[in-house]
Order: sequence, then structure tokens, then C-alpha cells
Amino acid sequence: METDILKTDRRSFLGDSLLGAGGLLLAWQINPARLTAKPLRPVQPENAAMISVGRAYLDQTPNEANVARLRQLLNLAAEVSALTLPAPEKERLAVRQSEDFRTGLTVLVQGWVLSRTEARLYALAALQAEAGAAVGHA
Amino acid sequence: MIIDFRTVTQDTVIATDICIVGAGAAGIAIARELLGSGVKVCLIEGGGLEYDPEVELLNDAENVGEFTLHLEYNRARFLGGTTNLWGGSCAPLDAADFEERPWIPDSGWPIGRTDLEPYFGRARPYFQLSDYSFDPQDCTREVPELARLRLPVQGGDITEKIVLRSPRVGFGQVYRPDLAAENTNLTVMLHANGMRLETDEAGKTVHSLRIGSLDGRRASIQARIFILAGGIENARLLLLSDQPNPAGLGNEYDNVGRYFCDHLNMTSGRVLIQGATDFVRFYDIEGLYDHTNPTHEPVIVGLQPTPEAQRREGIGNYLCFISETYEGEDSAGFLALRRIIGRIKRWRNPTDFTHDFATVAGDFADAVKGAYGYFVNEAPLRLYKLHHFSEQVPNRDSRIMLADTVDALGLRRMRVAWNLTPQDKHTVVHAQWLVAREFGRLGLGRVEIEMAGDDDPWPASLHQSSHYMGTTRMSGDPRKGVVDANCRVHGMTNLYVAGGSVFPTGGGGMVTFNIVALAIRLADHLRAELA
Repeated sequence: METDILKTDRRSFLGDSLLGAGGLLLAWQINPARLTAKPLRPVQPENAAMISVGRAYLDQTPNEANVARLRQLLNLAAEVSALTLPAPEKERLAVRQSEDFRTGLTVLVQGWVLSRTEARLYALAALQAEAGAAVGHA
Repeated sequence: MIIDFRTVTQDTVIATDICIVGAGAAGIAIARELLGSGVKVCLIEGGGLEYDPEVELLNDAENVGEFTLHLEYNRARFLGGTTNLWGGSCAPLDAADFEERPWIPDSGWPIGRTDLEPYFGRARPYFQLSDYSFDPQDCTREVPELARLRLPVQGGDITEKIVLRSPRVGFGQVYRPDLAAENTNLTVMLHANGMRLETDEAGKTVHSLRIGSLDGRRASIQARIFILAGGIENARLLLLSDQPNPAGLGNEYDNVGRYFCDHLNMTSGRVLIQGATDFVRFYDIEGLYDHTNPTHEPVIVGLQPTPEAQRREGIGNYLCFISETYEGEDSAGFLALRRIIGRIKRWRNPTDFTHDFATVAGDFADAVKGAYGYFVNEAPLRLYKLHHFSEQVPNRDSRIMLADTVDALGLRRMRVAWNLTPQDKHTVVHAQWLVAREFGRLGLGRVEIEMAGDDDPWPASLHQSSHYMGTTRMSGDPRKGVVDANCRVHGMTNLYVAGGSVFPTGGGGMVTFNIVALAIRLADHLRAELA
């Protein structure tokens, strides 16, 4: 039953297409009660990973450590969170990732070859999460 | 029949039509092809029927190059030669490997893939290969499982190359009945080492080969034709034969021993793949070594840059295999991610993130795996290692010479200078980038590159493939090679060379299979010449 609740929450949070690493990550035994008890949306494992990769990208590309600039580079509206992209935006960026790889617009982050688009999306996620965490802590 | 040279009378002169020096893949293939031909063939082998550590000491060589070539234990001096050790991988050279590639100096064979094509077919039975095609499209039809498990990499910069697995046919064991048969035109003489070729005064025709054994026995073989089939020893024997030319036979243009090359072999980087969990059965280099499992498919698929991509990037040929699941779920990085999640959920002190982010960065694959999971669907994501197999481009300064010290036969040992060029590293670096970009473009996954730039150091895992090539390279121009298109030494009337040493470039093929194809071709040529 807990698993069902979690799946429902994931659908609303990430959309139907985001169960890729879900099977593995369910093993993390995230408590669903905690997921619904917090005022802000819960952070899923994928999000934590995005934040980690995004932080690494920002460390090597500090001139992009700016939410507004990253939104502009990604052509994302101000109200959109990198951690909760609407499905159409996600599809658009997925296509853009593929195009990045085709045209060689790639970046090496900690040895991994990523598209510039995904690296920037993760960077935006990192900045947003860090800002949110700071506000929450205050 | 098989005889032991140590039972032959001292200083005997043995007369034959064709003398083959070295009973490895090339020598045994030529001898078998000439069975029943009506010409007397004498095949000599420095070792015996089995491994003998005293004999193997003759393999010792000096290393003076950038990298160490371990010749002492990656060769075998007994009947069958290095087929007693090999891994069983079989794949023909690509058509593009034979062509002159302007971006690779000294590339180009005087023959093409079409010249060898019929001999590939005749080589297959030597390796007990299945009937599967070397063409990935055909192979998909022949092996229905492959269609399901195949990665969809067609149409871009990366293509597939089929490698068929031989059950590690040891030529010395499998073909011993043929070699040992009585009343044939073939004599195999064990414990007979080639020591020096002796020629006429002009140095154009070899009239005899001086041979010796470790117990001090010496003799000579006189023949109409001599074939050197001793792998890396071919160049050494030419250099040891320093009369009348002190530089050695066939060495008018100082090419003997030069251009030594191998296939560069290394495990480096990882790949995160979304796909069938068992796809790796066809891409896993480890399958090449699993000869104990009869259910394993006899097909391995390597990924390689297309000829067009090789040209555009200015690189040599390259193959990449995917191997071994990396189970990182219990790693420090994974556990750190769990802590980050917990803290974000509870909005605890963000400064605590620093250590865990650093930990994740230290095991960054987990983070990439998780982040990529944001975009993928239901197929599982798994991490694998990448195994690289890369062509070493021709380099005059990578070479075999004679050392000042001597071996137990009193012959000058081999001195090896195995040297790579910047283009060798460029090949591995840029081929990896091509693979990484294709994986990204096609949505197959993400690739980690350990050696990402031409200035990065070689991975510590870099090692030899023991494909000893180039030192008697084939060329239509005597100034640029040692043997001609028929494997005859330039400037010599009756001296031929067989084996990997005649390869001017190693390309993307597996060497033994191509050696045997060339050997069969040479046998046909000699049959015609002697008819």
C-alpha cells in the first residue's frame, strides 16, 4: 500500500514517463508520510542526483551560476522549476539534448559526457534547491 | 611426420623444396595447404610438443621504449606457437584498413580487402568458426536473439563490427594429426631454431638456413624457397642474417624491424545504458574469454567509428566493447545521495550538503545515473565498463633491434622500442567522444571518459594485445616496406615472410584470423610458382 501511495505521488510529481530508475530507487524506502507532511514538494532521488550533477557543473562553469541566466539559456519560463518540469517542457529539452549530442554541444562533467542542455538544467535544479533549502532553514 | 632435431646428426645438410621457419598459425596453415602438393616441405619449430620453460627463456627481450612489451610470457615456443595462448577472437580487417588513409602517414596496403576475401572463407574452418556472417545485418537474421538485444547505433558515426569466437583452436594440437602423418610431403622438425639465413654473394638468393638446438646441435637446411613464419622473430632473423649486408637481409632501406605496432588494449571509463539487461551478452568483451560455457553465443559485437568518422576525426581504427556490470548501489556515493535527500526533505543545515556533494562527486556515476533517470522511461539503467581496442598507427621509431647481449643459442637478443605517437592517443580519445555522442544522440545512455583529451595521460590499464605487426611490412614500394604484395622480401628471389609482421597497419581486425588468410594466399602463390 505504501508503494501505491508513493507511485501516485511520483506520477503527480514527475509524470508518467519518469519511472526509469524507480524500481531501483524504491529500495531507498522513502517514507510516504514524510513526503506529504512537508510544505514544499518532496525531493525525489532523481532530483538529488540532478542537484549533485548540477553542482558539479556549476563548480566548473561558475559564470552560469545564475538562475535567470540559466532560465534564459534553457528558454524556461520564470515559474517553471527545473525539478518539476511540465511534460511538454521535458520533451522539448529531451529533443534539445539529442540535438546537442548531434552537433557536439557537449560538456565533460566529472568525466561524464553530458549535453550542455541537461547540464544546465541540472545546474538550475541545484541553484533552486540550494535557494529553497536556505529559505527553509532560515 | 614429426621428428626431433636433437636426434639428427650434427652438421647434417637437410634438403627440401620449401623451408618454413616457425610452426605457429601461419607456418602450420601454409604447411597444411601444401600437403599433397608434390613439393617437399620442412616446417621447423624452436620448441617441442609442449611448453618448456627452458625454451621459453629464448623469448626474453630488452625493452628500451616508452612502453614495455612483455615478450617473455605472451608468446609460446612450441608446436602451434602463440595459438597455444590466444583468446579466440576472429574478425577480418575492414576494407578501409587496406586503403591509404591520408591522415595516417605510411598507411595503405598494396592489396585490398577483395584480394583477401576468398581466403577469409578458407580460413574459417581453421578456427572452427560457426557459419555466422561478419556482417551485422546478416548476423541479425542468423541469430534472432541478436535482433532483440542489439543496440540501435546504425546510421550515425558509430557502426558495429562482428567478432566471431573460435573455440581457441590450438593449431599444434588440432592439426597435429596432419603434421604427424607418415608418408606425406611434410616433415616437421622440433627443437630446431632458425639462426641465420645464408645467401649467395649478391645477397639476393637464400641457399640455406643455419639451425640449432639448445643442446648445441647445429645443421643446415637447403631449400628452393624459405618462408619466415615466426611472428615477431621474423625481423630478428633478417637482422641476424648480416652477411653480405651488415644491416641484414631485405634491409636496404632500413625498414626491417621498424614500424612495430600492436593493438592498444585498455579498460577505461564506463557507460550508463538504458536497455535490455542481457544485451551485454553480445557486447561484452568478457564473452571472448568464456570458452567454458557452451551456451554462450559465438558472436561478440564491437562498436567502431565509421570510415567517414575516422577520416573526419583524423583517427585510426578502433573498437569498443562493453563489459562487466558495475554495481554501485552500495557505494559511498549512493549512500551520500540518500543523506542529501533526507536533509532536503527535512530542510536541515545546507552546509551539511558540502561533504555529501563531495562524496557523490567522488563516485559521480551514481549521480549521473540518477539524473539521467529523470529523462528515461521504464527500461532499467545499468553501468558497464568500457573496453577499448585501438589501432596503433605506423611509427618508424617503434621498432625491434638487436641487443648486445646473447641468448642461450648465442644469438643476439631482441631489443624492443615500443613507442606510441600523439595520433594513437588522439584515436582513443576521439573515438570515445564519438561513442559518447552517439549514445547521447540516440538516447541510449551516457558515457564516462577517463582519458578525455590528447594531453591526458594514458589509462593505467593500457596494455599490449600481443598482435606483433609491422616489422616486415608489406608495400609495393621497396623503399617503404620489406615484402611485396606476395609477401616476398623485396630484392630477394626466394625469401618470403608470413605472419603479422607483414601487416603495414593493424586496422580493426583480429590478427590471427587475418594471418591465416594471408598464409593461405601465400601458399596458393607458391603452389603456382612451383608448378
